[in-house]
Amino acid sequence: MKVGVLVFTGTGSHQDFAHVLQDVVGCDWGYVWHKDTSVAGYDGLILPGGFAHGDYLRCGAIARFSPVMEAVVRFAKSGGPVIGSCNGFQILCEAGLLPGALLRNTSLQYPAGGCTSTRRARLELFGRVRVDFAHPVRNVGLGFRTVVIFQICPQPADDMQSHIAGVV
Amino acid sequence: MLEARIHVTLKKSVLDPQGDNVKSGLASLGFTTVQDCRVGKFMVLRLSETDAAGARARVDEMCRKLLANPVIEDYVFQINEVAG
Repeated sequence: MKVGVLVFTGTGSHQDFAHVLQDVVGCDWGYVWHKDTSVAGYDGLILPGGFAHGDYLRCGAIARFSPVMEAVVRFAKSGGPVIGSCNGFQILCEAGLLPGALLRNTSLQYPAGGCTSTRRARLELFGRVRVDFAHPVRNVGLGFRTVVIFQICPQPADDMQSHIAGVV
Repeated sequence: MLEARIHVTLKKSVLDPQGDNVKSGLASLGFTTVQDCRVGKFMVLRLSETDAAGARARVDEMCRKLLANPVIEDYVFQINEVAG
């Protein structure tokens, strides 16, 4: 298996993902520059966090039109797995590969902490996973049905519309 | 030369914590008559086009594709003739 880690100008956590892929998961990986037009040879793609294009206009709005994104969209639509973390999540929302849009946190806090896989994700997808997060723009506005796979922990009971940290 | 002046604003149904925080800031400065504040974006594009109708169509497309996020934002713009 070979995983591609996308790099835009302003991407910040690509080296963290490369380290995990190489030293923790132990799989083959490569960086994919945002001006590349092909993702051939990769079995999965990761869009890391950071501030692609400085977060100018809207987070992910300009990155979404980088030359590589056409290939990423084709890859995803043909069933290729794509994960967007943090700014990567924002880019995937702007590209229409994830539903909804990201809004400023209503409290204007910059929360950081842990989030855990939702009950549905645990049962149907990948078991219990805990991931750390920190961001001022994570209030997800969803206009239609979406599967929530991560929520900020401790989890509010039965409230799937709030504290969303990850969607598919 | 043509110039497009574009306002991008959050849809009315979307909460604006940035606006709320600006209102609090104004209140702490003593401006207590501000009942609501909403913050948007203003952009000016200078266009090397001469046909206003064509420019209008292209600016509309720019707004729909990039300048505004249609899920949460509305936009309005004016096209004016300006001295080159």
